[in-house]
Amino acid sequence: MGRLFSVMLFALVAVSPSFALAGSSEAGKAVLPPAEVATFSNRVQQDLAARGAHVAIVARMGRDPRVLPRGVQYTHVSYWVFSQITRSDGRRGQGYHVYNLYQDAGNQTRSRLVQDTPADFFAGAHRLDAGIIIPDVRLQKKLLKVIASPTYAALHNANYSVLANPNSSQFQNCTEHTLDVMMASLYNTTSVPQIKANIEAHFKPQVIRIGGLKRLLAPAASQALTTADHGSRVATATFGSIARFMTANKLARDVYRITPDSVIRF
Amino acid sequence: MSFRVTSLALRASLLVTPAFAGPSGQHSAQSVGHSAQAASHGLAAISTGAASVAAVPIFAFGSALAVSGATLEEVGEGAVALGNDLSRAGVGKPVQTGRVTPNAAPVLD
Repeated sequence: MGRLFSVMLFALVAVSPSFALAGSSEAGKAVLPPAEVATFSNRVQQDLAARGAHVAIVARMGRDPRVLPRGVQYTHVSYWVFSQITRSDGRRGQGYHVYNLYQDAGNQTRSRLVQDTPADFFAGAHRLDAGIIIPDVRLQKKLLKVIASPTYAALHNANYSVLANPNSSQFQNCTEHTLDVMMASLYNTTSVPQIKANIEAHFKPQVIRIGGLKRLLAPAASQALTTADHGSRVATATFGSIARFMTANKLARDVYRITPDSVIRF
Repeated sequence: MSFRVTSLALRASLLVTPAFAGPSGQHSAQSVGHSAQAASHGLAAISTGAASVAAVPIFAFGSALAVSGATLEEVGEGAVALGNDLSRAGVGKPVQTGRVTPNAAPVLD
């Protein structure tokens, strides 16, 4: 009987899809050929510029979508800001600068704010497929003010959880920080309690279906997989849920997906 | 036997769940000098260190945008080895959320 139970347990754990979601970390060794990554990052930059986007929300696919939970396509989200850029060697140009919250490589329960380049951003991609939201130009102006102010960093909570509950300030991940910055911009506030109250009232996070066993065992694998800030239902901010929120409230000008050979409207 | 199978099952579960965590680590394999973790802030990000860049957001809306010059990546090996991080220190602490009355749904002016 015990043996039967063990075999069933093994099968359950081994067969059930994991809710791999992270990918919100700086690129380790690039998955894809560097030349393809460079070409694609240029393509995304050119596309955003052609649409006149000063600020865009860009998401990457940091994991094989087959292992992602239902309703989740992208694993890392950041703001891209059109900027005057000067390289260390003095070369200059105009293009996009990327504002990330990355999971800390040395301590996966912590995060830090990192600015990098579009190519760095896609270096961590499993597939060259970007989700893009171009906010309404009025929101872009508000976002730009916040991103370029101390509020952007003040909204960072370094306690990282892959599945952070956006209604709570206990943990934060990249998507939640993106949402917090947006709410600060929309309501012209720096108050975290006010931001969280507004998120709870108006934002519908993506529900993540996790079996009880997997939820129980996940923190044993990594504390960053904690769901301690959730009740019985686990829900987190995702690129898709932010896109739905922005579309429903007429805050987005364009929501689309770009790959090396196509642009697809969601 | 039962103990061994149970042990195997538990070990397997722990092997599966690490798939949650994303590819961590810095650009160790590619970075030429990724450690410019300069604490910077403000409209003009501060350029420090050999691998860093300065990026100033462009606030002038209304004109056509064009990506130009050094911001375009060179296509080839090493193109993503730029490692131009500028890290900004956040507060990093959770803020306790009390009972706050939410505002109305967001609308743009």
